[in-house]
Amino acid sequence: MYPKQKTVAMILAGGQGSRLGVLTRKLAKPAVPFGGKYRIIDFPLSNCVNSGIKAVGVLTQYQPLVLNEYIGNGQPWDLDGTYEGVTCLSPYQQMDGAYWYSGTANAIYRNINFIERYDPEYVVVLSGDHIYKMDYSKMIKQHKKTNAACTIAVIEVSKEEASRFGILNTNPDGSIYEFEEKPAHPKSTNASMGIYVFSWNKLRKYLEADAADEKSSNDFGKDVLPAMLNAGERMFAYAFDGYWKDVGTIDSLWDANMDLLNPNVPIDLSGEKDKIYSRNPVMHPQYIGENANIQNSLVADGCEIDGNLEFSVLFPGVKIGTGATITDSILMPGAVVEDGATIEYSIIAENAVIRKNAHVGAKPEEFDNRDEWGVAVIGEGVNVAEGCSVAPKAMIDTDVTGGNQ
Amino acid sequence: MKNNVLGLVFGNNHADRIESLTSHRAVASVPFGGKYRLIDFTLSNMTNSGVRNIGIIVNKNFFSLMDHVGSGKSWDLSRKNGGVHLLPPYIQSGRGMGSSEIEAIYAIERFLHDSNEEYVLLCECGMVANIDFEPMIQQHADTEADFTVMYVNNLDSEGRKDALSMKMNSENRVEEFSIVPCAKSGENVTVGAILTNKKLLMKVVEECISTNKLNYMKDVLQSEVQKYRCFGYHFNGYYSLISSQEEYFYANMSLLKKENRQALFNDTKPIYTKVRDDMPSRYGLGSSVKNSLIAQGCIIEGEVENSIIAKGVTIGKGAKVSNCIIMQDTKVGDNATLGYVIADKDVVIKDNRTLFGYDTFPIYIPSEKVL
Repeated sequence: MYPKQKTVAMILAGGQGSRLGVLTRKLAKPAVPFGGKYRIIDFPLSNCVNSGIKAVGVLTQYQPLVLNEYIGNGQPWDLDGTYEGVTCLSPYQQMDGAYWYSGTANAIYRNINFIERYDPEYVVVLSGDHIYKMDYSKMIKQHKKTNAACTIAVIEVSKEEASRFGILNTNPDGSIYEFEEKPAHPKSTNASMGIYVFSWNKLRKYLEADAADEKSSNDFGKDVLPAMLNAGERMFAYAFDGYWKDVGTIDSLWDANMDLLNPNVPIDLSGEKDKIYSRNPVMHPQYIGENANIQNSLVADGCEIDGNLEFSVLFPGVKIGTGATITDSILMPGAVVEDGATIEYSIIAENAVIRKNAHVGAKPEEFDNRDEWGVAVIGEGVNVAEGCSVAPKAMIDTDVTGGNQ
Repeated sequence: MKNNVLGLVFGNNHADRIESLTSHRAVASVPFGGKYRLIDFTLSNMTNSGVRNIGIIVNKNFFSLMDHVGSGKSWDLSRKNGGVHLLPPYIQSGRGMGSSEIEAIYAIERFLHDSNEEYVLLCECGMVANIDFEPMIQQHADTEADFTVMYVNNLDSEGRKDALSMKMNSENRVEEFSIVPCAKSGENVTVGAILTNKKLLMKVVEECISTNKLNYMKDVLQSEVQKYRCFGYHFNGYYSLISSQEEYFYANMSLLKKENRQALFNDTKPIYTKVRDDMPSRYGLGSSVKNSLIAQGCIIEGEVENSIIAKGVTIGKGAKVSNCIIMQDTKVGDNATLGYVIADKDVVIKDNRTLFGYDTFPIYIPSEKVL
């Protein structure tokens, strides 16, 4: 018998993240490395722990190997209790057939049994691909106080940005009267963060109704939330004013990494407070050589650096040779940059090798037409041969053996 | 794979030789190399060599060691069968706190008795090395030895004080042990790892206790070398032996050499440690770091050269740190200048302070001191 948990969190981690291209070829988006030692999923998982949520389900579907292995028994997040902790929930075969998760709501619907084991009052539904620190207990407190069926976290965005988001229009008391998905002329600037608190008895009812509706696409944003609003359920916005970033694209992933280097951006990963936990590699401290010059960068354990580094984020075990120059770039675990190579505005995935004097990416200033420019991405394990160059905005998933790409 | 060897680690012997660093901790938990404790090397070597049932004998000052070792999870030693056990004094009634190894083993006789292993590997924890014990275990079985003693013969120019040196025949059988005031390079010197048979060890310890012979170096190995089959096992990899503050300083600094790092840290036999979830280290604009080993969670705004910087250290703007060992969470203020300093944990060096030791005499700052 599982002890009752007031709150169960469900993290949606099944999406392919196709806009991240080669980075998500072999792993789900929430497993993409972030911030020099983390994976994206560390943020929602750690937020749960720091908010006192002890029962967490992670819904996996696309390329789950790395993610499942990474989460393991949940020990790095203190989520390895006997009757509580984290559980990876993949689609499974049932009496009436075998189904993939057909949408975000369907993924939760298929795991009603998991949620019911804990007999919760609240279910928090989270995305596995956002970078932010948030205390969900404050949001749950508001949810209780307003006696809501559903509370949706919102963040203030600029008028220009608003048309890229799902916008919530609210009454003065914070109750929601309208959803607008990517409106051309937004009425407000409250963007949904994809963080929902539901009263479980309500959510269960709507999930079941949604599953019975053959026309539904089984999606929270498109189907379940509008159904609740139309039925007159109490739905409230919860205003969040910290740092939050959806890292679903190459540009936003690059931006969010660079935000960690900017002291004016309000996300702080240092110190003991609301720590972001992760599975740590077994590697010696980083060694900085005689010829190294490091400016405004983040560097993790196991790195050996003898080159120049500016505005860059280095994950564990990255090797930078003598005279190599890395600027405005992200180098994922085990990447190797040999002597004299140059990397600018690039993301180099795990274990990729950039040989001597190769050149990857370019500065935006060099382009009159900015549309031709973009962050260059080198896929996992790709080898860029000596002296070769890779153009900005390129996305490379096979070895570069000669000339320019 | 688990083998037939029980590991027994002396967590605090020779504490008197590195007094400053061990005033509030056991030798086993002396910080090393920016993110390790000395015990990490012995524990990792044992677990990598299939020794999966390990006792750590401690007599005092073991709070930080208990905190570090915990359940043994970090070394994959949190196990249903075996695992790591901290063995403090008085775990058996009537057998208290002796100062010698013989008394210590006598006090934990019950632990030996209850274990299923046939052999016991006795280790001190002042040796920093990546050692595969498997060939030693194999040699012990092949030679049907009573004692197999690990030795090195490549001491550095400083030599080694109060060493146990040994002479062997062509089959590596030890003919004579001698305690020398200062061993030189080329001499075969024991390095604190002895493999023996559990039943024999228990018998020897009981005899020693009843006859009040308490020094295993002198009273067992040296005086009874003819009685037992003692063999030497040669270790010829990279190592540092730490039994003084100067040796501690040099051993840390030796990690700045690439070949030493490669010998000590490798992917197939990793050195495990308890990891704190620190963020990656951050280098500010205007920082300058050369030839240094930096752990995670540091914020470096100043200059660092030829130094070992542990996790969570802050180096302020304009500060100059050279040839130093700075331990975890110590803060070096803006424009402070430090040379040849060993700063223990949580030290605060205020802005503009200057402190210099010397190559042969690094200055030690105890933990939590404010300068």
